[in-house]
Amino acid sequence: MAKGYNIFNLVRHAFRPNEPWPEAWAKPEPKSSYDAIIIGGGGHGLATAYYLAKNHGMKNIAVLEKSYIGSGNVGRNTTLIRSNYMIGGNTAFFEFSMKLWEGLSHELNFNAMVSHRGQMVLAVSPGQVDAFARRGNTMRLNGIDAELLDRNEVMKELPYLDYSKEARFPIYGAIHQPRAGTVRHDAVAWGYARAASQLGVDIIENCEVTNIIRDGDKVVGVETSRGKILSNKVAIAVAGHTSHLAAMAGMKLPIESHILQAFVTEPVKPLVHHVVSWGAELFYLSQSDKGGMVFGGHIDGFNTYTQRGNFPRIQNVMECATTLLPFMSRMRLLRHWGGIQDMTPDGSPFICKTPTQGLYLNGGWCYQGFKATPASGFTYAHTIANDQEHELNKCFSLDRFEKGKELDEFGIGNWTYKQ
Amino acid sequence: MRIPCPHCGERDVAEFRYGGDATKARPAHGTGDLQAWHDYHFVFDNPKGPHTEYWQHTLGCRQWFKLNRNTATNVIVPSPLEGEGGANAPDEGVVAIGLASANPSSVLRKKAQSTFSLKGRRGEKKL
Repeated sequence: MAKGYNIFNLVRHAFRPNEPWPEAWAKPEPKSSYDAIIIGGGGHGLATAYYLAKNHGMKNIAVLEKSYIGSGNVGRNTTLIRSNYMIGGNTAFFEFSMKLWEGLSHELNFNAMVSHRGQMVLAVSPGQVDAFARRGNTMRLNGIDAELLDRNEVMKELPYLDYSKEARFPIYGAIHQPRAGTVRHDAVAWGYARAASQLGVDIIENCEVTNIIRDGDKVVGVETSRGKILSNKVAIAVAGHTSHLAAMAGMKLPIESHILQAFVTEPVKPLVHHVVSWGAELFYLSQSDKGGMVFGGHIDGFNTYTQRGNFPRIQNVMECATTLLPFMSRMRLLRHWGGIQDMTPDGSPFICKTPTQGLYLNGGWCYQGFKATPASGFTYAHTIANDQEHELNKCFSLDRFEKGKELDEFGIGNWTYKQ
Repeated sequence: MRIPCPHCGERDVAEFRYGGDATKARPAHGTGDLQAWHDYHFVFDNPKGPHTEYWQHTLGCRQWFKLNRNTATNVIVPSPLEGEGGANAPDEGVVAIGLASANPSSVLRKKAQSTFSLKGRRGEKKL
């Protein structure tokens, strides 16, 4: 297993061609029992394992991944990070995540290519400028960076947008968060996996959980495709399959699984230096370090577990792209793919205990799982180790709908995507 | 994905609007049990597999109907037509969202159905 990455072993390997680098994380056989089992080897599951080992001294942990590390949503998202949230608990949580991103590469000794290139959310009406001013003020009052730009300032920063008189949605301004940006998503998975493995966590790939074993109202372990594994702490972190896993423990959740598509064009020279989001429709675009335009839009709109997108949404996203950025009409699409995400009524996640003792839930991330990865792992680890929510994830409870404590960031009520 | 509308035949998914899980029963009008309303509004089976759901043919006949679809594959499986006691039989939930059984148009619709058969293209569709 590769211990430290530094300039010296880089040079040593340069002079030893034909010799592969040691594996970044160990590939152990599953043991018969662990102090804690994390179901799901995605970004959130691996981050949780890392923080459990680092912050809470738990070393006897397994992360069970049904496929290979990086095969799920951690390798399918559009890599954006931001903390431009306005509602109660969200603001502090996502800003905490942003702060963890800032030191992540050093912490993991793995270059996650965190790029604070800034995010511009474009306003397309005077009313939207007012709404963005309110959002920006809320952010600044919470110590988050935000600035409101007028049309002329946006024209200087993003000269390639459609500013013509014929523009279907004229640009009135933008809210800019300079610390927002992108992170190389594969590196996040690999970095957390390697760091957790070095702290003694067993990362077990190709190990699908088929049942959650309970004794009364307590969890005692899981049945997997590689045998039965016992533990009195089992933590779910499986994104799109959250309902599927919860059903194994007899739970029904406020979640529907939906497909979100993402797209990338052929690589071109550097042009888009920010993350650009649009106020007229759910659309966002950034340019990867390799040069491709990475962009996406809304979910397809019906529940599905297939990771295949439908053409009508592709058409809609392309229309958004060419309306906002006319140059996109001359770009060629290289790939598109889909990921399954667990949509909640209010668009906010769950990081909480469940009615079954020892069973924990992390899910319901909707569109926003990737940017939350470090804070999600940090607070979920706290919840698992202490059997008690961290201050930052108290608001992400399962019973918030019963109590009327929804975190409705869109501000238009529950199930926004069904309206 | 292509969806077989029981009235218009198979059309592209772009013509339809998804209406959610059709197996849930709306609590009776005036029910004061908040837990029942909570479960009705917020909690879903969300199965990975067979799912009965509402769709509306918004860019066609605008009728609501039930569809059996496997959420793991998007394969749509045949369901009996309305009146044959199958998934497309109208129930209170459908009435509430616009398929008025007392409406004269429903008579026309039933008549249309008697001459319209989906047989022959109702096998499993790989989408």
